[in-house]
Amino acid sequence: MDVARDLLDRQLTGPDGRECGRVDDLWLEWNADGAQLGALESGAATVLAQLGVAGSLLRRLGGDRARRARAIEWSDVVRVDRTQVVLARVPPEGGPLRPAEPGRRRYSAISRLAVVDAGGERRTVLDIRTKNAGSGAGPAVLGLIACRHPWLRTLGMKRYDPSGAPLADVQRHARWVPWGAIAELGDEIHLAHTFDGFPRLGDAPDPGPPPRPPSEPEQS
Amino acid sequence: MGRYGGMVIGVVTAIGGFVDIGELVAMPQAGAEYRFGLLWAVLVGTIGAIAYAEMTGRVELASQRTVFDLIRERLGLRMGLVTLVAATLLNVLMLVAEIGGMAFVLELASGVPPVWLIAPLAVGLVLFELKGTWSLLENVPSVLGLALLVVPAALLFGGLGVDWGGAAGQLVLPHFEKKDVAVYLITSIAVLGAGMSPYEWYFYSSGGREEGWTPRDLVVNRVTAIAGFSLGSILAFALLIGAATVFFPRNIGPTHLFQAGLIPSSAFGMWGLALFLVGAFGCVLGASIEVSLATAQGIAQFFGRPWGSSRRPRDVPAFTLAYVVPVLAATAILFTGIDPIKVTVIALAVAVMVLPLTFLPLLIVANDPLYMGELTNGRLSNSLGLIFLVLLTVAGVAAVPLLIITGGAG
Repeated sequence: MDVARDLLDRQLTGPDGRECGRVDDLWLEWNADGAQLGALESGAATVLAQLGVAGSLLRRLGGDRARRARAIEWSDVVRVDRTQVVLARVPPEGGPLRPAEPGRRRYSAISRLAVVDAGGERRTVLDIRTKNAGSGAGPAVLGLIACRHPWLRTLGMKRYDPSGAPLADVQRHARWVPWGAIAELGDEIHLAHTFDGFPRLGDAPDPGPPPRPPSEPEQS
Repeated sequence: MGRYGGMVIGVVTAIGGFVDIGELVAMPQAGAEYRFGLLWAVLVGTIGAIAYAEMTGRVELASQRTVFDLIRERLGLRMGLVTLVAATLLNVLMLVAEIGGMAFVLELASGVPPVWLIAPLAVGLVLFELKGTWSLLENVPSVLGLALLVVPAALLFGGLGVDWGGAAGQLVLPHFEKKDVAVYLITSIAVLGAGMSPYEWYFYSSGGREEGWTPRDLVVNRVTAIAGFSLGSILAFALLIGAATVFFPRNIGPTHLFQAGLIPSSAFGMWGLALFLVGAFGCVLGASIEVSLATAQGIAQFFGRPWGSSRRPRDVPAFTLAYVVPVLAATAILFTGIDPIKVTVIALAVAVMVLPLTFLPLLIVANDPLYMGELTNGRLSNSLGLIFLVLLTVAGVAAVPLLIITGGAG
């Protein structure tokens, strides 16, 4: 599963089939052994936190409601479908957002960081590839896809799937960066090697097609 | 009701629902100013409307996503919000024009000044939306709107002396004799925008969800989009040709929203006018419902909140609030005394600016076999989709300076 392609912005659905927001953001947690996806976040506070000055202004004007968000642990996630993330229970909305900590940051923050290789060349994070870690645990992060064309995301290239590839020329430029190749993750993501040393997207671990509901057949 | 019954209803509602305040304002103005010189824009707008309506419905039934689901998923939160905010502001402008239009129709029928009618109409609209089911909200105004067929009937049987040869000729080779190119261009954009208002796609794709479309409804979608929009465009063509026949030779520029009623009344007298008013009221009522619900659907879908016209308002509180507030905002704007004709022309030009932000994610997803499977876009859909995307982007960019140069008076 790729985070931006298959998880971010997806509809959240409760056990009764009722819509209960979208995946507005999610946490990445890492230590020396590797990284995994943390809780999903949904709610006004999470949305406003991504809108810069306008978001801060609206948060001040919006009162208590604008400061609330819902954190959803992976133990509450039943499955990730093609169109929705189905929850076993809908956690209540909580108070102010938790700040980032060492070893723990939101996807929205990481996706805005520059990826800098050993030669100083800069790219951006196009997506983060994960692998299912089993029931109750967040998917393990395998690595990230670094790309030269951030402006294409603005034109609807948030995902890099086959329909986007010809326009964005992602297949040629994107590089697969395994998580273990990240030398430092601070204000920038520093890599231990140059981009030329990383495999192209076609040689990265296959994320498979976006997940589908059990009732739908897989398509080739 | 079977699939074919649904298809017939879909076509009927598409005919009655094709016309809104945009057509009622832009077509008579275009015909009165440029005679048949803008028929091409109606034709182009209709082809674009059919192409994207078919694509919107197909994407919905194949991917189970509405337009705003796609905008959120493809453009992401921040760029998606730009589209949502732009579409919402545009929809409020459209609501100003539609509610103003309803007030002007009732003024003609009752003699009561519009200012006294605006508040009761807005309250009635909200109550209808709160109490009505999806099929009631969709079908009642559309059936009323069919009375507008009196306009093409007037052209065909009313002895108005329509120059059909001239109309056909200018449809292929348009020309205009007026000097102001900027006004001609902004009027063309308004005519184009009248046939392709963004709310139509939001409402159409949400309608597919409301009616529980599945990939088996592919034929229903195609017939509704092609037959419904083609037949509906007859009303738009008729309004323009009627104005070219009745107003242009007399050098009359429509200054009132419903001077177009002179076209059927010239042919059939008071009955013609009465039918026109019923049809016009049905069309603007239907459009008011569609615009306000499309606004609420877009907001609810973007933020993943529950929505649906057939669900009880207390079960969908955010959705309910999201259509009540725009109606109240539009009503408040109308009380400032703003001219609904000017608002309509500006809204139509703004509509053309918003459309590319809506069509781009739609076109991308329609080409994605992972979403679409066997229903992925073919060559024809892609060619039309790309042509209109480029055309609307150019028109959208040109609309801003043209609006400034012409003072918004297309």
